Amino acid sequence: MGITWVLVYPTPEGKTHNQALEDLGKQLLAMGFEKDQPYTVECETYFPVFNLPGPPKIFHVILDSDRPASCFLVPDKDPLGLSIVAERSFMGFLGKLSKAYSAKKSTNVEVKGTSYLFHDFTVRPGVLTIMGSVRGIVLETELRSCPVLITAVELMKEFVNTILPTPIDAPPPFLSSRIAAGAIPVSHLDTVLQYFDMFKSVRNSMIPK
Amino acid sequence: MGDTTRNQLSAILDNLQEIENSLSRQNISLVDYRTAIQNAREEGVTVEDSANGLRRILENLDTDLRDIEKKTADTPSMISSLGLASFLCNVPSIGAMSGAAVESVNKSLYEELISTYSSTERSREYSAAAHNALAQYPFRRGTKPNLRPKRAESTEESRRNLERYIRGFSAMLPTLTFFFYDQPAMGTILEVIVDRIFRVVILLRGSHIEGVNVRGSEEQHNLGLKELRPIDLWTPSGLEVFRQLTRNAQAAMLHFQSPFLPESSLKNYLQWLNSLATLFSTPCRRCGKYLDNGLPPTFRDYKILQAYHEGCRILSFTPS
Ligand SMILES: [Zn+2]
Repeated sequence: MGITWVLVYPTPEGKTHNQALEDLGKQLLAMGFEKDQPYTVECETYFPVFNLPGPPKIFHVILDSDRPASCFLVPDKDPLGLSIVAERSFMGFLGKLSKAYSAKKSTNVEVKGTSYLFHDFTVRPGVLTIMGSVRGIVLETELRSCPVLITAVELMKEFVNTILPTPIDAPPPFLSSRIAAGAIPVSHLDTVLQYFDMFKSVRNSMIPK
Repeated sequence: MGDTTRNQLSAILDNLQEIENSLSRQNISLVDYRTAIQNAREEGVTVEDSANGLRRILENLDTDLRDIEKKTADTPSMISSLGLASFLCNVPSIGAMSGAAVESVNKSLYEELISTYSSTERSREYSAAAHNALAQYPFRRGTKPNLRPKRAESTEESRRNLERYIRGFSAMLPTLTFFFYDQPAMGTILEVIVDRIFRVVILLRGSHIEGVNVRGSEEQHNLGLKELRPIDLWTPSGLEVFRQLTRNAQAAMLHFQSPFLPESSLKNYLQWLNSLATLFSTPCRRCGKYLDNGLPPTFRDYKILQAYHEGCRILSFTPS
Protein backbone atom coordinates (compact mmCIF):
# COMPACT_ATOMS: atom_id res chain seq x y z
CA MET A 1 0.00 0.00 0.00
CA GLY A 2 1.51 3.27 -1.13
CA ILE A 3 0.47 6.86 -0.98
CA THR A 4 -2.43 7.99 -3.17
CA TRP A 5 -3.64 11.28 -4.48
CA VAL A 6 -7.25 11.52 -5.65
CA LEU A 7 -7.77 14.49 -7.96
CA VAL A 8 -10.34 15.92 -10.31
CA TYR A 9 -9.24 15.66 -13.92
CA PRO A 10 -10.63 18.74 -15.65
CA THR A 11 -12.57 17.85 -18.78
CA PRO A 12 -11.46 20.09 -21.66
CA GLU A 13 -13.99 22.50 -23.16
CA GLY A 14 -16.19 21.05 -25.89
CA LYS A 15 -15.73 17.44 -24.86
CA THR A 16 -17.92 15.04 -22.96
CA HIS A 17 -16.52 13.44 -19.85
CA ASN A 18 -16.50 10.04 -21.54
CA GLN A 19 -14.59 11.42 -24.53
CA ALA A 20 -12.11 13.04 -22.19
CA LEU A 21 -11.60 9.75 -20.32
CA GLU A 22 -11.01 7.94 -23.58
CA ASP A 23 -8.46 10.54 -24.65
CA LEU A 24 -6.75 10.31 -21.28
CA GLY A 25 -6.49 6.53 -21.70
CA LYS A 26 -4.82 6.98 -25.08
CA GLN A 27 -2.49 9.61 -23.63
CA LEU A 28 -1.43 7.25 -20.84
CA LEU A 29 -0.71 4.42 -23.27
CA ALA A 30 1.33 6.81 -25.39
CA MET A 31 3.31 7.79 -22.30
CA GLY A 32 4.26 4.15 -21.78
CA PHE A 33 1.62 3.19 -19.21
CA GLU A 34 0.29 -0.33 -19.24
CA LYS A 35 -3.44 -1.04 -19.21
CA ASP A 36 -4.36 -3.13 -16.18
CA GLN A 37 -7.96 -3.90 -15.20
CA PRO A 38 -11.36 -2.24 -14.76
CA TYR A 39 -12.33 -0.94 -11.35
CA THR A 40 -15.28 0.62 -9.54
CA VAL A 41 -15.51 2.73 -6.41
CA GLU A 42 -19.05 2.98 -5.03
CA CYS A 43 -20.57 5.00 -2.25
CA GLU A 44 -23.97 4.28 -0.67
CA THR A 45 -25.43 6.57 1.96
CA TYR A 46 -27.54 5.20 4.82
CA PHE A 47 -30.21 7.28 6.52
CA PRO A 48 -32.11 6.44 9.74
CA VAL A 49 -35.63 5.20 9.03
CA PHE A 50 -37.12 6.95 12.06
CA ASN A 51 -36.59 10.57 12.74
CA LEU A 52 -35.13 10.67 16.19
CA PRO A 53 -34.58 13.94 18.05
CA GLY A 54 -31.35 15.68 17.19
CA PRO A 55 -29.44 15.77 13.90
CA PRO A 56 -29.88 12.57 11.81
CA LYS A 57 -26.99 10.13 12.09
CA ILE A 58 -26.01 9.49 8.49
CA PHE A 59 -23.21 7.16 7.39
CA HIS A 60 -21.72 6.13 4.11
CA VAL A 61 -20.46 2.77 2.91
CA ILE A 62 -17.70 2.90 0.34
CA LEU A 63 -16.63 -0.15 -1.66
CA ASP A 64 -13.60 -0.43 -3.91
CA SER A 65 -13.43 -3.32 -6.40
CA ASP A 66 -9.63 -3.40 -6.00
CA ARG A 67 -10.19 -4.12 -2.25
CA PRO A 68 -12.75 -6.90 -2.63
CA ALA A 69 -12.48 -8.08 0.97
CA SER A 70 -13.06 -4.74 2.68
CA CYS A 71 -15.83 -2.24 3.14
CA PHE A 72 -15.32 1.22 4.52
CA LEU A 73 -17.86 2.77 6.86
CA VAL A 74 -17.62 6.53 6.95
CA PRO A 75 -19.83 8.63 9.26
CA ASP A 76 -21.05 11.90 7.85
CA LYS A 77 -19.60 13.78 10.81
CA ASP A 78 -15.91 13.44 11.68
CA PRO A 79 -14.99 10.95 8.96
CA LEU A 80 -11.31 11.15 9.84
CA GLY A 81 -11.84 10.20 13.46
CA LEU A 82 -14.63 7.63 13.33
CA SER A 83 -14.33 5.74 10.06
CA ILE A 84 -14.14 1.97 10.20
CA VAL A 85 -12.60 -0.57 7.87
CA ALA A 86 -14.61 -3.81 8.03
CA GLU A 87 -14.75 -7.11 6.22
CA ARG A 88 -16.95 -7.20 3.16
CA SER A 89 -19.28 -9.61 5.00
CA PHE A 90 -20.28 -6.66 7.13
CA MET A 91 -22.59 -5.70 4.24
CA GLY A 92 -24.82 -8.65 5.24
CA PHE A 93 -25.13 -7.22 8.71
CA LEU A 94 -26.18 -3.86 7.23
CA GLY A 95 -29.04 -5.67 5.51
CA LYS A 96 -30.28 -6.78 8.93
CA LEU A 97 -30.36 -3.17 10.02
CA SER A 98 -32.81 -2.31 7.24
CA LYS A 99 -35.57 -1.56 9.75
CA ALA A 100 -33.45 1.18 11.34
CA TYR A 101 -31.25 2.33 8.43
CA SER A 102 -31.86 2.32 4.74
CA ALA A 103 -29.78 3.35 1.75
CA LYS A 104 -31.16 5.97 -0.57
CA LYS A 105 -30.39 4.83 -4.09
CA SER A 106 -30.74 8.41 -5.27
CA THR A 107 -27.55 9.40 -3.46
CA ASN A 108 -25.34 6.61 -4.85
CA VAL A 109 -22.06 7.76 -6.26
CA GLU A 110 -19.89 5.65 -8.50
CA VAL A 111 -16.48 6.00 -10.15
CA LYS A 112 -15.80 3.58 -12.98
CA GLY A 113 -12.76 3.20 -15.16
CA THR A 114 -9.63 1.21 -15.96
CA SER A 115 -6.38 1.21 -14.03
CA TYR A 116 -3.00 1.70 -15.65
CA LEU A 117 0.47 0.77 -14.42
CA PHE A 118 3.69 2.72 -14.87
CA HIS A 119 6.77 1.46 -13.00
CA ASP A 120 5.75 1.68 -9.32
CA PHE A 121 2.76 3.92 -10.04
CA THR A 122 -0.84 2.83 -10.43
CA VAL A 123 -3.15 5.37 -12.08
CA ARG A 124 -6.91 4.97 -11.98
CA PRO A 125 -8.82 7.41 -14.18
CA GLY A 126 -12.60 6.98 -14.08
CA VAL A 127 -15.89 8.78 -14.68
CA LEU A 128 -17.83 9.93 -11.64
CA THR A 129 -21.56 9.29 -11.80
CA ILE A 130 -24.28 10.43 -9.40
CA MET A 131 -27.79 9.06 -9.95
CA GLY A 132 -26.85 7.97 -13.44
CA SER A 133 -25.57 11.34 -14.54
CA VAL A 134 -21.86 11.73 -15.37
CA ARG A 135 -20.36 14.54 -13.32
CA GLY A 136 -16.66 14.48 -14.17
CA ILE A 137 -13.41 12.55 -14.24
CA VAL A 138 -11.50 11.40 -11.18
CA LEU A 139 -7.81 10.61 -11.33
CA GLU A 140 -6.34 8.48 -8.58
CA THR A 141 -2.56 8.10 -8.50
CA GLU A 142 -0.81 5.63 -6.22
CA LEU A 143 2.92 5.41 -5.66
CA ARG A 144 3.05 1.81 -4.48
CA SER A 145 6.64 1.99 -3.24
CA CYS A 146 6.20 4.88 -0.82
CA PRO A 147 4.13 4.43 2.33
CA VAL A 148 4.76 7.83 3.93
CA LEU A 149 2.64 10.70 2.71
CA ILE A 150 4.84 13.57 3.79
CA THR A 151 7.98 12.40 2.06
CA ALA A 152 6.85 12.41 -1.56
CA VAL A 153 4.70 15.54 -1.96
CA GLU A 154 6.95 17.19 -4.53
CA LEU A 155 7.54 13.93 -6.37
CA MET A 156 3.81 13.23 -6.62
CA LYS A 157 3.17 16.77 -7.81
CA GLU A 158 5.79 16.32 -10.54
CA PHE A 159 4.21 13.03 -11.56
CA VAL A 160 0.54 14.10 -11.70
CA ASN A 161 1.51 17.25 -13.57
CA THR A 162 2.85 15.11 -16.39
CA ILE A 163 -0.73 13.78 -16.81
CA LEU A 164 -2.96 16.73 -15.91
CA PRO A 165 -3.71 19.27 -18.65
CA THR A 166 -3.39 22.14 -16.17
CA PRO A 167 -0.69 21.74 -13.52
CA ILE A 168 -1.54 21.81 -9.84
CA ASP A 169 0.77 23.27 -7.22
CA ALA A 170 -0.66 21.69 -4.04
CA PRO A 171 -1.75 18.22 -2.98
CA PRO A 172 -5.49 17.39 -2.78
CA PRO A 173 -7.10 19.53 -0.04
CA PHE A 174 -8.02 16.54 2.12
CA LEU A 175 -4.37 15.43 2.24
CA SER A 176 -3.07 18.74 3.53
CA SER A 177 -4.34 17.99 7.01
CA ARG A 178 -2.88 14.47 6.85
CA ILE A 179 0.47 15.78 5.67
CA ALA A 180 0.46 18.33 8.49
CA ALA A 181 -0.02 15.45 10.94
CA GLY A 182 3.50 14.23 10.14
CA ALA A 183 5.11 11.13 8.75
CA ILE A 184 2.35 8.63 9.48
CA PRO A 185 2.14 5.59 7.25
CA VAL A 186 -0.87 5.59 4.98
CA SER A 187 -3.70 3.06 4.82
CA HIS A 188 -6.49 2.36 2.35
CA LEU A 189 -8.74 4.53 4.44
CA ASP A 190 -6.67 7.54 3.38
CA THR A 191 -7.59 6.80 -0.22
CA VAL A 192 -11.24 6.14 0.54
CA LEU A 193 -11.57 9.32 2.55
CA GLN A 194 -10.19 11.31 -0.35
CA TYR A 195 -12.93 9.84 -2.55
CA PHE A 196 -15.45 10.64 0.13
CA ASP A 197 -14.23 14.21 0.36
CA MET A 198 -14.62 14.57 -3.39
CA PHE A 199 -18.09 12.94 -3.47
CA LYS A 200 -19.24 15.33 -0.80
CA SER A 201 -18.06 18.40 -2.64
CA VAL A 202 -19.55 17.20 -5.92
CA ARG A 203 -22.86 16.51 -4.17
CA ASN A 204 -22.81 19.89 -2.46
CA SER A 205 -22.10 21.58 -5.77
CA MET A 206 -25.25 19.89 -7.12
CA ILE A 207 -27.52 21.19 -4.39
CA PRO A 208 -27.87 24.76 -5.67
CA LYS A 209 -28.94 23.44 -9.08
CA MET B 1 77.90 -72.96 -8.74
CA GLY B 2 77.16 -70.70 -5.79
CA ASP B 3 80.64 -71.33 -4.42
CA THR B 4 82.27 -70.38 -7.68
CA THR B 5 80.49 -67.03 -7.64
CA ARG B 6 81.57 -66.43 -4.11
CA ASN B 7 85.19 -67.20 -4.94
CA GLN B 8 85.12 -64.83 -7.83
CA LEU B 9 83.67 -62.10 -5.66
CA SER B 10 86.26 -62.58 -2.96
CA ALA B 11 89.02 -62.44 -5.61
CA ILE B 12 87.67 -59.06 -6.73
CA LEU B 13 87.57 -57.92 -3.15
CA ASP B 14 91.23 -58.96 -2.75
CA ASN B 15 92.22 -56.91 -5.79
CA LEU B 16 90.44 -53.86 -4.39
CA GLN B 17 92.18 -54.37 -1.07
CA GLU B 18 95.51 -54.47 -2.89
CA ILE B 19 94.80 -51.21 -4.68
CA GLU B 20 93.83 -49.54 -1.46
CA ASN B 21 97.02 -50.77 0.23
CA SER B 22 99.27 -49.55 -2.58
CA LEU B 23 97.60 -46.14 -2.40
CA SER B 24 98.00 -45.82 1.34
CA ARG B 25 101.62 -47.00 1.12
CA GLN B 26 102.35 -44.01 -1.05
CA ASN B 27 100.42 -41.78 1.36
CA ILE B 28 98.15 -40.98 -1.46
CA SER B 29 94.50 -40.69 -1.14
CA LEU B 30 92.76 -39.99 -4.38
CA VAL B 31 90.47 -37.46 -2.87
CA ASP B 32 93.35 -35.47 -1.35
CA TYR B 33 96.25 -35.40 -3.82
CA ARG B 34 97.16 -31.82 -2.79
CA THR B 35 98.03 -33.08 0.69
CA ALA B 36 100.05 -35.89 -0.90
CA ILE B 37 102.14 -33.44 -2.93
CA GLN B 38 102.65 -31.32 0.17
CA ASN B 39 103.87 -34.38 2.13
CA ALA B 40 106.26 -35.38 -0.64
CA ARG B 41 107.76 -31.86 -0.65
CA GLU B 42 108.37 -31.95 3.09
CA GLU B 43 110.16 -35.31 2.74
CA GLY B 44 112.59 -33.70 0.24
CA VAL B 45 111.23 -35.49 -2.78
CA THR B 46 111.05 -33.38 -5.90
CA VAL B 47 107.76 -32.76 -7.59
CA GLU B 48 108.93 -34.66 -10.68
CA ASP B 49 109.77 -37.75 -8.60
CA SER B 50 106.54 -37.73 -6.77
CA ALA B 51 104.63 -37.15 -10.01
CA ASN B 52 106.41 -40.13 -11.57
CA GLY B 53 105.61 -42.22 -8.48
CA LEU B 54 102.04 -41.17 -8.77
CA ARG B 55 101.94 -42.07 -12.43
CA ARG B 56 103.33 -45.50 -11.65
CA ILE B 57 100.71 -46.06 -9.00
CA LEU B 58 97.99 -44.90 -11.33
CA GLU B 59 99.24 -47.29 -13.99
CA ASN B 60 99.15 -50.14 -11.48
CA LEU B 61 95.71 -48.95 -10.46
CA ASP B 62 94.65 -48.98 -14.05
CA THR B 63 95.89 -52.56 -14.48
CA ASP B 64 94.18 -53.64 -11.27
CA LEU B 65 90.91 -51.98 -12.29
CA ARG B 66 91.02 -53.66 -15.69
CA ASP B 67 91.56 -56.89 -13.85
CA ILE B 68 88.51 -56.28 -11.68
CA GLU B 69 86.50 -55.26 -14.67
CA LYS B 70 87.47 -58.43 -16.49
CA LYS B 71 86.62 -60.59 -13.49
CA THR B 72 83.28 -58.83 -13.02
CA ALA B 73 82.44 -59.37 -16.65
CA ASP B 74 83.33 -63.07 -16.28
CA THR B 75 80.93 -63.54 -13.34
CA PRO B 76 77.43 -64.34 -14.45
CA SER B 77 75.09 -61.36 -14.81
CA MET B 78 73.34 -62.37 -11.60
CA ILE B 79 74.93 -59.57 -9.58
CA SER B 80 73.55 -56.79 -11.69
CA SER B 81 70.10 -58.30 -11.99
CA LEU B 82 69.29 -58.80 -8.33
CA GLY B 83 66.12 -56.74 -8.65
CA LEU B 84 64.52 -59.03 -11.18
CA ALA B 85 61.86 -61.09 -9.51
CA SER B 86 62.00 -64.00 -11.91
CA PHE B 87 65.78 -64.22 -11.51
CA LEU B 88 65.58 -64.03 -7.72
CA CYS B 89 63.07 -66.84 -7.73
CA ASN B 90 65.30 -68.99 -9.88
CA VAL B 91 68.51 -68.27 -8.04
CA PRO B 92 69.81 -71.36 -6.30
CA SER B 93 70.02 -71.57 -2.58
CA ILE B 94 73.11 -70.06 -1.04
CA GLY B 95 75.64 -72.18 0.80
CA ALA B 96 75.65 -75.88 1.36
CA MET B 97 71.92 -76.10 1.92
CA SER B 98 70.10 -78.07 -0.65
CA GLY B 99 66.89 -79.91 -1.08
CA ALA B 100 63.33 -79.05 -2.08
CA ALA B 101 62.32 -77.75 1.38
CA VAL B 102 65.05 -75.13 1.53
CA GLU B 103 64.37 -74.26 -2.05
CA SER B 104 60.70 -73.51 -1.33
CA VAL B 105 61.51 -71.54 1.86
CA ASN B 106 63.87 -69.37 -0.12
CA LYS B 107 61.34 -68.98 -2.83
CA SER B 108 58.63 -67.78 -0.45
CA LEU B 109 61.14 -65.43 1.19
CA TYR B 110 62.00 -63.92 -2.14
CA GLU B 111 58.38 -63.55 -3.01
CA GLU B 112 57.74 -61.77 0.26
CA LEU B 113 60.71 -59.56 -0.35
CA ILE B 114 59.42 -58.66 -3.79
CA SER B 115 55.95 -57.83 -2.56
CA THR B 116 57.40 -55.68 0.22
CA TYR B 117 59.60 -53.97 -2.29
CA SER B 118 56.74 -53.27 -4.65
CA SER B 119 54.46 -51.97 -1.91
CA THR B 120 57.24 -49.70 -0.64
CA GLU B 121 57.79 -48.52 -4.17
CA ARG B 122 54.07 -47.87 -4.61
CA SER B 123 53.81 -45.88 -1.38
CA ARG B 124 56.82 -43.82 -2.43
CA GLU B 125 55.12 -43.12 -5.74
CA TYR B 126 51.86 -42.14 -4.06
CA SER B 127 53.53 -39.88 -1.55
CA ALA B 128 55.39 -38.15 -4.36
CA ALA B 129 52.11 -37.57 -6.17
CA ALA B 130 50.46 -36.38 -2.96
CA HIS B 131 53.36 -34.04 -2.32
CA ASN B 132 52.93 -32.47 -5.75
CA ALA B 133 49.23 -32.05 -5.25
CA LEU B 134 49.63 -30.55 -1.79
CA ALA B 135 52.33 -28.17 -2.96
CA GLN B 136 49.72 -26.45 -5.14
CA TYR B 137 47.68 -25.43 -2.09
CA PRO B 138 49.74 -23.65 0.49
CA PHE B 139 48.38 -24.79 3.82
CA ARG B 140 51.07 -23.06 5.72
CA ARG B 141 49.87 -20.37 8.07
CA GLY B 142 51.24 -16.90 7.87
CA THR B 143 52.02 -16.91 11.52
CA LYS B 144 53.12 -19.62 13.87
CA PRO B 145 50.19 -21.83 14.63
CA ASN B 146 48.81 -21.16 18.03
CA LEU B 147 48.78 -24.47 19.84
CA ARG B 148 45.83 -23.39 21.92
CA PRO B 149 43.59 -21.71 19.36
CA LYS B 150 41.24 -18.99 20.48
CA ARG B 151 37.73 -20.31 20.91
CA ALA B 152 35.66 -19.34 17.89
CA GLU B 153 33.25 -16.52 18.58
CA SER B 154 29.69 -17.79 18.70
CA THR B 155 27.08 -16.17 16.47
CA GLU B 156 25.43 -14.76 19.53
CA GLU B 157 28.63 -13.19 20.82
CA SER B 158 29.52 -11.67 17.49
CA ARG B 159 25.96 -10.36 17.18
CA ARG B 160 26.22 -8.78 20.62
CA ASN B 161 29.55 -7.13 19.79
CA LEU B 162 28.20 -5.86 16.53
CA GLU B 163 25.06 -4.54 18.17
CA ARG B 164 27.16 -2.66 20.72
CA TYR B 165 29.33 -1.23 17.98
CA ILE B 166 26.41 -0.05 15.83
CA ARG B 167 24.42 1.33 18.75
CA GLY B 168 27.53 3.38 19.50
CA PHE B 169 27.11 5.53 16.42
CA SER B 170 23.42 5.02 15.64
CA ALA B 171 22.72 8.55 16.88
CA MET B 172 24.55 9.72 13.77
CA LEU B 173 22.08 7.80 11.62
CA PRO B 174 18.72 9.15 12.77
CA THR B 175 16.66 7.67 9.94
CA LEU B 176 17.79 4.10 10.48
CA THR B 177 16.11 1.63 12.84
CA PHE B 178 18.14 -1.50 13.55
CA PHE B 179 16.98 -5.02 14.32
CA PHE B 180 19.49 -7.78 15.02
CA TYR B 181 18.84 -11.48 14.52
CA ASP B 182 21.02 -14.54 15.15
CA GLN B 183 20.92 -17.12 12.44
CA PRO B 184 23.56 -19.71 13.44
CA ALA B 185 23.50 -21.24 9.99
CA MET B 186 23.99 -17.93 8.20
CA GLY B 187 25.54 -15.44 10.59
CA THR B 188 24.09 -12.26 11.96
CA ILE B 189 21.21 -10.68 10.12
CA LEU B 190 20.85 -6.95 10.44
CA GLU B 191 17.52 -5.59 9.34
CA VAL B 192 17.53 -1.86 8.80
CA ILE B 193 14.34 0.11 8.32
CA VAL B 194 15.08 3.35 6.57
CA ASP B 195 12.72 6.06 7.72
CA ARG B 196 9.71 3.72 7.47
CA ILE B 197 10.07 3.87 3.69
CA PHE B 198 11.89 0.63 2.98
CA ARG B 199 13.71 -2.20 4.68
CA VAL B 200 17.21 -3.46 4.02
CA VAL B 201 18.45 -6.86 5.09
CA ILE B 202 22.20 -7.16 5.58
CA LEU B 203 23.83 -10.53 6.16
CA LEU B 204 26.99 -10.23 8.23
CA ARG B 205 29.81 -12.61 9.06
CA GLY B 206 31.55 -11.03 11.97
CA SER B 207 31.62 -7.44 10.80
CA HIS B 208 31.97 -8.32 7.13
CA ILE B 209 28.98 -7.64 4.92
CA GLU B 210 28.16 -10.72 2.94
CA GLY B 211 24.94 -9.82 1.21
CA VAL B 212 22.27 -7.17 1.01
CA ASN B 213 18.70 -6.94 -0.26
CA VAL B 214 16.28 -4.01 -0.32
CA ARG B 215 12.52 -4.30 -0.16
CA GLY B 216 9.47 -2.19 0.46
CA SER B 217 8.28 -1.49 4.00
CA GLU B 218 5.49 -4.05 3.66
CA GLU B 219 7.60 -6.77 2.09
CA GLN B 220 8.52 -8.64 5.26
CA HIS B 221 11.56 -10.85 5.76
CA ASN B 222 9.69 -12.82 8.46
CA LEU B 223 12.59 -12.61 10.89
CA GLY B 224 10.54 -12.19 14.07
CA LEU B 225 10.57 -15.02 16.59
CA LYS B 226 6.81 -15.37 16.47
CA GLU B 227 6.77 -15.28 12.70
CA LEU B 228 5.00 -18.32 11.27
CA ARG B 229 6.06 -17.87 7.69
CA PRO B 230 9.54 -19.04 6.64
CA ILE B 231 12.37 -16.52 6.64
CA ASP B 232 12.72 -14.93 3.25
CA LEU B 233 15.76 -12.74 2.75
CA TRP B 234 16.60 -12.82 -0.92
CA THR B 235 13.37 -12.73 -2.95
CA PRO B 236 13.67 -9.52 -4.97
CA SER B 237 11.21 -6.76 -4.19
CA GLY B 238 8.00 -6.57 -6.17
CA LEU B 239 8.69 -2.87 -6.60
CA GLU B 240 11.01 -1.67 -9.32
CA VAL B 241 12.57 1.11 -7.29
CA PHE B 242 13.75 -1.33 -4.63
CA ARG B 243 15.14 -3.77 -7.14
CA GLN B 244 17.20 -0.94 -8.57
CA LEU B 245 18.14 0.13 -5.07
CA THR B 246 19.29 -3.42 -4.30
CA ARG B 247 21.68 -3.31 -7.25
CA ASN B 248 23.06 0.02 -6.08
CA ALA B 249 23.30 -1.18 -2.49
CA GLN B 250 25.29 -4.21 -3.64
CA ALA B 251 27.65 -2.01 -5.64
CA ALA B 252 28.07 0.25 -2.60
CA MET B 253 28.75 -2.80 -0.45
CA LEU B 254 31.68 -3.67 -2.70
CA HIS B 255 32.84 -0.08 -2.77
CA PHE B 256 32.95 0.33 1.00
CA GLN B 257 34.42 -3.10 1.66
CA SER B 258 37.77 -3.05 3.37
CA PRO B 259 39.10 -6.41 4.53
CA PHE B 260 41.28 -5.00 7.28
CA LEU B 261 38.81 -2.52 8.74
CA PRO B 262 35.47 -4.32 8.43
CA GLU B 263 33.85 -2.32 11.19
CA SER B 264 34.58 1.09 9.75
CA SER B 265 33.52 -0.15 6.34
CA LEU B 266 30.21 -1.20 7.88
CA LYS B 267 29.85 2.23 9.42
CA ASN B 268 30.48 3.98 6.09
CA TYR B 269 28.01 1.66 4.45
CA LEU B 270 25.29 2.45 6.98
CA GLN B 271 25.94 6.15 6.47
CA TRP B 272 25.42 5.63 2.78
CA LEU B 273 22.13 3.82 3.52
CA ASN B 274 21.10 6.63 5.82
CA SER B 275 21.37 9.06 2.91
CA LEU B 276 18.70 7.08 1.07
CA ALA B 277 16.02 8.19 3.51
CA THR B 278 15.44 11.04 1.08
CA LEU B 279 14.70 8.58 -1.72
CA PHE B 280 11.34 10.16 -2.55
CA SER B 281 12.00 13.67 -1.28
CA THR B 282 15.22 14.79 -3.00
CA PRO B 283 15.51 15.82 -6.63
CA CYS B 284 18.35 14.58 -8.77
CA ARG B 285 21.57 16.52 -8.45
CA ARG B 286 22.09 16.55 -12.20
CA CYS B 287 18.68 17.07 -13.82
CA GLY B 288 16.88 18.67 -10.87
CA LYS B 289 13.82 16.42 -11.25
CA TYR B 290 12.28 13.94 -8.84
CA LEU B 291 11.44 11.32 -11.42
CA ASP B 292 13.32 9.96 -14.36
CA ASN B 293 11.48 7.29 -16.31
CA GLY B 294 9.08 6.80 -13.41
CA LEU B 295 11.79 6.24 -10.79
CA PRO B 296 13.30 8.52 -8.15
CA PRO B 297 17.06 9.08 -7.79
CA THR B 298 18.24 5.71 -6.45
CA PHE B 299 21.96 6.41 -6.48
CA ARG B 300 24.01 8.29 -3.89
CA ASP B 301 27.60 9.11 -4.71
CA TYR B 302 30.09 7.60 -2.27
CA LYS B 303 31.76 10.80 -1.15
CA ILE B 304 29.20 13.48 -0.40
CA LEU B 305 26.11 11.29 -0.78
CA GLN B 306 24.31 13.36 -3.38
CA ALA B 307 21.26 11.95 -5.15
CA TYR B 308 21.35 10.91 -8.80
CA HIS B 309 18.99 9.10 -11.13
CA GLU B 310 20.29 5.87 -12.58
CA GLY B 311 20.65 7.47 -16.01
CA CYS B 312 22.05 10.73 -14.65
CA ARG B 313 24.64 8.86 -12.61
CA ILE B 314 26.05 7.28 -15.74
CA LEU B 315 26.23 10.67 -17.43
CA SER B 316 27.79 12.31 -14.37
CA PHE B 317 30.31 9.72 -13.31
CA THR B 318 31.58 8.30 -16.56
CA PRO B 319 35.31 8.95 -16.63
CA SER B 320 36.13 11.29 -19.51
ZN1 LIG C 1 18.42 13.03 -12.90
